[in-house]
Amino acid sequence: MMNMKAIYKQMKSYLWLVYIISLPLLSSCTEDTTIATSNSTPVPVIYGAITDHNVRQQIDLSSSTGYFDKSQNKRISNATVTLQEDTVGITHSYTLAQDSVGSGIYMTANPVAGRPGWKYKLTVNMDFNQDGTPEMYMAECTMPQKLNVDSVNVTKMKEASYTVYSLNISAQDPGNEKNYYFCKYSVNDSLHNEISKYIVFDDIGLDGMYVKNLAIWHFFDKSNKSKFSDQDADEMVFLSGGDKINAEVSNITKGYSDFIVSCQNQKDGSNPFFGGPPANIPTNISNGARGYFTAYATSSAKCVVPTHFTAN
Amino acid sequence: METNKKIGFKLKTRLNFVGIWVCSFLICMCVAQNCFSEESGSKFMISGIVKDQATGNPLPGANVYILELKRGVVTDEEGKYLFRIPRGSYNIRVSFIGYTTEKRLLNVDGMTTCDFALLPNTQLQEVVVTSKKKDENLSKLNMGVQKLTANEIQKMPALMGEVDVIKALQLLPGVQSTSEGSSGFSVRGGSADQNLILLDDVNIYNASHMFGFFSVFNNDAVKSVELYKGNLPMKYGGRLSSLLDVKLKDHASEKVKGTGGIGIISSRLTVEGPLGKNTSWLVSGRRSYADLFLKLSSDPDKRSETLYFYDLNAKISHRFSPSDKVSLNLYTGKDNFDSSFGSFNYGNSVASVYWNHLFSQNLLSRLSLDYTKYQYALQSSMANSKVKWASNIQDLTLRWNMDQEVSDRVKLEYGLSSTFHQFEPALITRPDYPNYRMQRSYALEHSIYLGIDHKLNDRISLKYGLRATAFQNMGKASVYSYNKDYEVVDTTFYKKGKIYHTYLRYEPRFGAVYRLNSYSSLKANYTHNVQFVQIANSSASGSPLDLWFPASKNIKPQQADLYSVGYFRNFNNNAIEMSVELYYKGMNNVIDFVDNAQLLLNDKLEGEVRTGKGKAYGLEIMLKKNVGRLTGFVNYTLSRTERKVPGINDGKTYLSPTDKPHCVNLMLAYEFSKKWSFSAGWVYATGNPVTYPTGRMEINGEYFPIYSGRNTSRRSDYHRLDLSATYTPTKKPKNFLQGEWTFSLYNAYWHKNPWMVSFDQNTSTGIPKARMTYLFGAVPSITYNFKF
Repeated sequence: MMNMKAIYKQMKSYLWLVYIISLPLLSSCTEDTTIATSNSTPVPVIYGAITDHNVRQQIDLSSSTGYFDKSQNKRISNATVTLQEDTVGITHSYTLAQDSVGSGIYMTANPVAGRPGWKYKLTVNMDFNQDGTPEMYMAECTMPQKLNVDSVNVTKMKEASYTVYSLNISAQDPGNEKNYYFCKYSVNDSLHNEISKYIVFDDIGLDGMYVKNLAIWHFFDKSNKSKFSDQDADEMVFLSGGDKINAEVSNITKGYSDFIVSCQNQKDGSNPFFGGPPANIPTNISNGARGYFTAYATSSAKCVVPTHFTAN
Repeated sequence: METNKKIGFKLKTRLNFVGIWVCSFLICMCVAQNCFSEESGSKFMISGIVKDQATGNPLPGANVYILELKRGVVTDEEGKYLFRIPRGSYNIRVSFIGYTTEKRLLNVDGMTTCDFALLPNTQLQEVVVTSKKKDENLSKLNMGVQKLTANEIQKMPALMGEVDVIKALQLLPGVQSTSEGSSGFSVRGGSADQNLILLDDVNIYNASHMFGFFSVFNNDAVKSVELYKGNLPMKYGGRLSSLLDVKLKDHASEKVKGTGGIGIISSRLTVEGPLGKNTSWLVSGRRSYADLFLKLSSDPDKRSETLYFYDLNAKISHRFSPSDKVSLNLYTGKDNFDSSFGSFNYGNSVASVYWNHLFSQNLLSRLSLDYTKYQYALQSSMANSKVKWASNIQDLTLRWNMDQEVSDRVKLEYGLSSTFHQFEPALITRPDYPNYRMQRSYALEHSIYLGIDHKLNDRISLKYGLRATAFQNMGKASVYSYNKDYEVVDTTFYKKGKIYHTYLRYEPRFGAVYRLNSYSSLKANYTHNVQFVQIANSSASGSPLDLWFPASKNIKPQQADLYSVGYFRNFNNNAIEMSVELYYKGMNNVIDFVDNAQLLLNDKLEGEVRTGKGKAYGLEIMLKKNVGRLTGFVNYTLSRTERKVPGINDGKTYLSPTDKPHCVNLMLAYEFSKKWSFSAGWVYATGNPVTYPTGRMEINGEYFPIYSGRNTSRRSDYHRLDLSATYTPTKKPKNFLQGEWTFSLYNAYWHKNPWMVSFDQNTSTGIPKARMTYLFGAVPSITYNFKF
């Protein structure tokens, strides 16, 4: 379990911090600018995750648009969406319908719980390019086995003048294979479902081990918010003592892990130090569409952010 | 039994291989001797050293001229000269800028030694000393070679007053900085890891400090800097684009003397002197103190940060006999960043020892053993997640080089070298968990070479040679096999010391000079270069997290063929030099990385590498004025660099990130009076190609970019004016120090040159917007330099 990606990300952010500290010695400055860029032809964007929760499973369909386009991305409402689940000798098929006209959100008619080990296959038929003939977009994913998280907790630490909370998990890594995980969390029942907030980690160096209270992420206390620029603070999650955390940890495919990491790296443009050249976020959807289709089983655990510092 | 047989066979093969090398080396020597020895006939050798009479320092680049024969030579790095002439009486004239010319009558009726000690010309002392023959640019066989002396570099305006060798080179035609303020450089469209950077003949893997804003070379200790833009000397190889050859001072001065400076970023001190009659030493140090400014911060966290770099050079040379000199060189440099969250450090360590032996006046041997290491370590000290991540690369090289003057017209250079490389990609240590070490890799690189400088007649000179290199991957190793989709399909394990893969590559090189007349010449060159190790780092600026990896059975060595022609002309009695050079570089197996490559902490790194073809071509025009009160240069480069790599940009040709079609550099220095001098530098370059998003997708309420191709947009053009003024007060006889104040202004008209373009969503509308970061406004600085 844990956590080369987390180490790498943490180290990168630390290195960046060091660099930023050295910048006041220079005279760097960031300001709004306009850049000339052409608009690419719109393509369908298909995104959905099948989970083991017994809910109406959902797929989002929209269209891409020019990067600086002033209007919102258009929803796709003329598609036929089908979902098929397979395991040895058994196949189920579901048709997904738009939950409200023009929303671009397609849902199964009834709650369905995905099952680890089953293969999920998505088919979307639509005439996106409006040439009178519908095109077919497909993707598939086998749901990885569930990781059972025994507990999560948060510890409060003083690091220089910062108050820092680490989110720790205890779990048994399955072993004998490389596993990729992600965690999404809610604070006081408000779920942070943005991909940029997902915590991604893996088990390099910890394959098959039982990890106890392994830190997977660090948060700052709300009182430290003023130490960050408004722009940075807007993208960060701050905690306070007494906050209720619900962490949902899932074992995911390498492809989906790469997708999340790439989304996080590419979102704000590439950093001259750490980013490679800007590149399209990988997709597993066929026929030139973008987005991702995945399936995972989730293990949830709750905890409360402590008000007292943890003795080391 | 069968295994034993196999081992026996392999051992034999390897012994045969070594045998072939030794034999071919000896054959080369014999052939060369036989081919050219007849020219030396009934001539006698005259040789000697030209020195400064006041200090006893040798004078490299002095002109030694025989009036009767109308023949001249230039003294070498150790001030030595050599002629082979018939019996007779000759008037010999020795001259050097800044010194009184000396003339002497010499009777030659056998091997003769004649040393000269030139008197410094006090009236001319303030003139720049260029340690080369006046019209060397016309006759030198190399093309695409730029030489700068410490004096020339010292005169250029510098960022924060930190005079910097690499920043100075970035003003030369065909040389580009990889990003604003960076000491990474690109030569003729090559990438930063295609430059071989040598400090006294030893490879420096990362020549940067402070994330690239300064280089590791302390200009006070530097004697000379030569940049070969592709036409590497025969004894060097292993890089496609260039050789940066930095030599530290090694004069045997007759008294202890020093130079130093105090600047806003760092201070430095270099002291050199003799130890007895035959020993000289040099110690040079530099330390930055940027973190002292942090102590003034109101933020207690910033006050506890440390942030500095240092360099320490030490050198000692001893002459055991007139024919034997041994030298030990040490260098260590480190950057250290320390905060309450953790620490980060990186740096180079270098040690080398060499033995120069003069077998005869025309045969010099140099045997050296070099060690170099580049390492970095990142450490998190946060409770609950203490972790250390360390990585390094180490080389141990044994080199034997021979320089032989067969006759006045023929010079040979030949030798052997063997390098042991060790790559340690990452070692992760955590207090509560087992260490995690990514597999180390090992390689051997053996080279043998022979180069010939051949002056056919007064008009035509040729330079030709061949270098052969064997690059061998060595166990212990687990080697992955990949399918066409770059997925691992098989793993093979090789035990410690096992050579499991060998590349044998030949690098032919050829150059010709045709001297049109006393003031102009035509030159042509062809060079084939091969590179066996490269950096996995695709960031634009080059972070210190360099990960070098070797060629292997999955990664072929990179290769380049460089063709260049040039016209060289001097005006006004060599006071003004002009050159026009055209080049074309075709590259094979050039490295790039697949989209979204994970380069660090990835044991299947080779699966992220893609290789293809590249080409670079261009025109470089340089006009340089070397003497007078106004000195300087202006140059213009027109160039193009492209790559075509299957698996990248849909297999279509794309511009290299270093493609900057138009570049202009202007550098002027003016000696206003004995006390005041001024200099100005102006740089212009087309903005480099970048990839900007052309579309966006929305997922869970966030926007993510979509791109239409690699490097299809361009940054805005880069330009900058730097100014400096130097005040040298008159030295009073009783004063120990000669001081000098330098005032400089970097980016004088505050042009906002973009360093990074990032994207952000407008907080109210949610629509993306672009943000530009520039690093430097106008940066003033003041530096005090001194010497004693």
